[in-house]
Amino acid sequence: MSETNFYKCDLRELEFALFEQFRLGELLASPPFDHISEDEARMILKEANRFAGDILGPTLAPADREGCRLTPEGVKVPKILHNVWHKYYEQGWNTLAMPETWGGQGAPRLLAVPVSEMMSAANLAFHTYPQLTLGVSAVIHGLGSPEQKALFGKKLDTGEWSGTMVLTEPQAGSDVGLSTTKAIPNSDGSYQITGNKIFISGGDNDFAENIVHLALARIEGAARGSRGLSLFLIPKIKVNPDGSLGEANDVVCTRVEEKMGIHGSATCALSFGENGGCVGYLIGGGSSKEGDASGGMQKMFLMMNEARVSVATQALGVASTAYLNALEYSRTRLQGAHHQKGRGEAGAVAIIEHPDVRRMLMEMKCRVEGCRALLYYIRRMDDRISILRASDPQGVGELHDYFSLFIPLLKAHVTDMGVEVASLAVQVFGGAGYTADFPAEQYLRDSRILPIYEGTNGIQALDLVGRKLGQNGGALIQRFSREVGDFAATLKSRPGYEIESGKLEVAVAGFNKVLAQYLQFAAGDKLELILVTGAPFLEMMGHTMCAYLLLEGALIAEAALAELEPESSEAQFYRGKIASARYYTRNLLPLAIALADTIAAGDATALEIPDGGFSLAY
Amino acid sequence: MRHRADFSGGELNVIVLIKHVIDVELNVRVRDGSVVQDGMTYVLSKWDENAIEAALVLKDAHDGEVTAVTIGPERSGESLRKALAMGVDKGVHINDPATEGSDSMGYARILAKTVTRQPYDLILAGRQSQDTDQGGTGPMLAELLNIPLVGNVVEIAAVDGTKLTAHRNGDAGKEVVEVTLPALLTANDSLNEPRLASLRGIMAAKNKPMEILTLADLEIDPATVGAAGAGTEVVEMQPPRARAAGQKFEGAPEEITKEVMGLLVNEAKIFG
Ligand SMILES: Cc1cc2nc3c(=O)[nH]c(=O)nc-3n(C[C@H](O)[C@H](O)[C@H](O)COP(=O)(O)OP(=O)(O)OC[C@H]3O[C@@H](n4cnc5c(N)ncnc54)[C@H](O)[C@@H]3O)c2cc1C
Repeated sequence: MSETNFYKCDLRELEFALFEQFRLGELLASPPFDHISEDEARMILKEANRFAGDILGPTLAPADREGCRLTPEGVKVPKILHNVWHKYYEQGWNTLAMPETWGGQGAPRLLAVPVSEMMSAANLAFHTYPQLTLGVSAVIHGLGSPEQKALFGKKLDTGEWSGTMVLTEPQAGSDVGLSTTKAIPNSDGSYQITGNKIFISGGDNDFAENIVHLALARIEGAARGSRGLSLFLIPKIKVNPDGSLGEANDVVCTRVEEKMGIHGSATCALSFGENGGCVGYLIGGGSSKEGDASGGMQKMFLMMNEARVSVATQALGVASTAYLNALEYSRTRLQGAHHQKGRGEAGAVAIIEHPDVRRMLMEMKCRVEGCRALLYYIRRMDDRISILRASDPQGVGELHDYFSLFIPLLKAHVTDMGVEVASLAVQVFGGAGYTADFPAEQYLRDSRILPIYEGTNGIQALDLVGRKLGQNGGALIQRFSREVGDFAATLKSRPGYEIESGKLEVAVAGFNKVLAQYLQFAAGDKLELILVTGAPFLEMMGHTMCAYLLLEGALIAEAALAELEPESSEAQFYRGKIASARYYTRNLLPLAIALADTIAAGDATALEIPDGGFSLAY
Repeated sequence: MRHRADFSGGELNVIVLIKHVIDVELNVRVRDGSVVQDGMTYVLSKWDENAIEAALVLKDAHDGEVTAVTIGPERSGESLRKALAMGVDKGVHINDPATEGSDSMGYARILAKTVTRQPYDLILAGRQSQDTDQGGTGPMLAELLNIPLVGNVVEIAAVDGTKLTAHRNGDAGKEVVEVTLPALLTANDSLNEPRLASLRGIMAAKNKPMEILTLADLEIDPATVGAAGAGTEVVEMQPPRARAAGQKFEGAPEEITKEVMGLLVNEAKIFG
């Protein structure tokens, strides 16, 4: 049976973000990226789009229906994904932004973003496997010993083996420090691992010959809490010094979760060393000396920061294809009379003609584009760090800190917006959206994991207000507020943007007011008022950032528009960009402005309500 | 002109003819008798992808070199680069404003001059290009070169010594055709499943040779090609007529058959 392919991607919009607003061309003019031309970058986009459309797209619903099963031989992932996995690696899509010294193509990470967007739009569940494998490979290439790089790195990059990230335990979710998985030194420098992990994505599968688990465990006698955790490389099957596979390493999948979405992605409970035969190796080698072993969390963060950006990318991909599907449907579904023109010849008009449907489309479009701008802005910073590394080491440090400020914002804001967009898409489809005949319901189910894994959005908000705001003595957040404030000031002189610049200025003022109020809360020992407003703070900052970047894009669109035939398709595209910026600023940014007031007011209701007051007869 | 009389055990040199065409998957609009260029994007014509794939498969089996040739403006270079990214060894781009407006015969004349600049054993082309759907260029080129032609090939069964066996779908069933090399084949889309350009392939393409030629380089009189030399003329373009709404039947197959037959006999009066 041939499957309907719902994959959709607006290449023109991606090219705008990449080449016009975030100036990939500039990055490609400097080392280490100057071996790639703009023509090549465009071809990469087109071919990735084709891979996502032709190869991955048709697997979306079948992989969802088949799901993953635990059998006596291990986990079976949907059959249709096997071929796709091999093709993905044959085509080398994982190597795009990998440094050349690791055997990759060394492209800017900015260029890898739209490619990941496309892959997750086509099949999010599938994309979790190569994305995690890439993360594991990066840790091994970056921190592994020479033997680890040689034995494990290459096979992860060819897709012969896959990788996982192993933190969660039944009693240790958001609070990883509660982990009880144990590591006991062996005489040869390796460790004996015992413990139970849950919810491990790709924890077992039947398309890779071997699996490389990167797991957090506590060496006997190490400190409590997350400080005492070390990072271990634990193969599913032991690897001989010559690279050949040895015997099984006593890692057993004991359960595969039944869940709401991403059914093609195996979520596994893993038991390590139940029979005393599980060997792990400290990342970077070294023996049982405490000095080599500590800092497991920091090492894991190398992967987790990257993973958080990837999760935002996944959210954007799904939101974008959900929007484009809703858009297409709204142009073909005939229903109701036009509010002025009546029913027309067909007896009903396409629903895109109804004001409320246009509103929903606009809500989706501006969120998708705002999030895309946010993501590309942050990724570009990453590439500038690579460029600066040679010339201006101090600049690197500052930029890197600024980059890290945005990680929790990016992860939480984009994934929250992604779910909203997917939900709106269901709404545009009406009853059809709730059925499995259309992809909208799957997009909603699939994207719902994104605000949860890689650190819940609640934990992201904590990271933002609890850690990042105070970092560098508050300099990072002030830099942010200055950057947006400066832009608002320049926008003021633009005729036609009075409303927008006004709103942006008010939003920045509100933001600054909250920062001042936070200092008061902290000084007055009212930390809980900061914690209870972390999520709204993040939302406020996210809307402000998206509005700012969309408006910057609108100015670029205005300049391009001046040269164009007003009704040409290019002109319509640019007018669409301007509409996104205006709509976001006039309809969503006011939420940020209102949030500033409520946050600064320091409402403690949620803190003061007695536990019994939530009821269920406490 | 042939690379060698008998390549068995030796190399097979293949030339693939490709065209960069309007992407027909997009909404092509016609206004005032011509195609609206605004918003147009271009792609490698789909049957040419089958021809490239066939050439690459032959190369894997017999070694040798695959050269892709295209005629067209600057933008056509994109399809050549794509061919190189898929694995073709060498590109030849005839980029000359005087080629514009060529009909099939004009293209065939230019290609005849181009392909005979180097020895070859086989020429592959799509069975037609996706923009005009004419299917004339390949056969005309074979005629000009005086080499055998097999059109609409669905399988290349064997290449043996100086002979090649190809299958094509004929009216009476599958035709098995043997030709002596050099020969020209045009590809049906069921010939194979064209590979996608891999990331490595895209990155490797820039190091492959790409030759850019003008009509003067080929010693072609511009008056014999392009709009000037065309024997045919497109007088007007008309948008395809919108199809009337279809009718959907639901139910058990027997019932549907009865219902449809009834309609065909009584309403459409198809059976007299
Ligand atoms: C499909 C899927 C795939 C997964 N893949 C992986 C994987 O590959 N590897 C891996 O290690 N894990 C994985 N996980 C686990 C995932 O990262 C955790 O579920 C997540 O971090 C939350 O932990 P928890 O489920 O224990 O929730 P809890 O920590 O119990 O959280 C429950 C709620 O309390 C909130 N909360 C908890 N602590 C605090 C606090 N201090 N302050 C404020 N709020 C708090 C949370 O935000 C959340 O809303 C996966 C989970 C799922 C469902």
